[in-house]
Amino acid sequence: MSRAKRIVRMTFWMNNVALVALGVLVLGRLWALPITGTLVAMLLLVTSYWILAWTLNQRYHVKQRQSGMWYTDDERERAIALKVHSACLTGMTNGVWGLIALGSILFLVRFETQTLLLTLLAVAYLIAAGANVQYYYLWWRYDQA
Amino acid sequence: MQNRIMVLRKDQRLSQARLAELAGVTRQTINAIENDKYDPSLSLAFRLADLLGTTVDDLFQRTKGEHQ
Repeated sequence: MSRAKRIVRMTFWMNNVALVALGVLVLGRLWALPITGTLVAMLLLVTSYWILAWTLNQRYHVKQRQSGMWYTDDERERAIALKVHSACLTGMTNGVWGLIALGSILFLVRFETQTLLLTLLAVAYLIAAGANVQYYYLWWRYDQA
Repeated sequence: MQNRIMVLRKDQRLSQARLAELAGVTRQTINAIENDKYDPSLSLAFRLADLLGTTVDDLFQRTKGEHQ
């Protein structure tokens, strides 16, 4: 397995951990869950970021992450990254348009402001989770070497 | 696009990893090119031809039905 593929796999799982932690944080605020749950979620969020940064730096020797394709090592991987980015960008654009359309419909239905915001938040969360899965799946599909 | 990279590489007793190292790409890229899953850029094609002691013309052939 190439270094790029391993980095994509690692970031996919760390993003999932971060998404679960964010979900618990939001639900904790909404449903007044015990403070322990919120603390654990915050700890999970910080730890997952720290583990990701440490692993990229120490194990995969990533020094700079300014470029959008910092994890690629050659032209084939850059071509894969471009294809995946393009597909994800299209997906995200469609998701945002969908979110705007849904927001407009919900606004017309005259939901309570809190319900409206929560629904939009839930959809945005699903878009983020979907984009994460889409990125991982497409990379796996295109990188068949 | 078919190619003779595997044949010439084996003639020179080079592993995929070594050829990749010399060409400045990953081993997976050499594997993808050999198995006709990736068409290299012109600069990489020239680099591979130089490393394998041949020409781009000799290294790569159009497959039937490819754009003439």
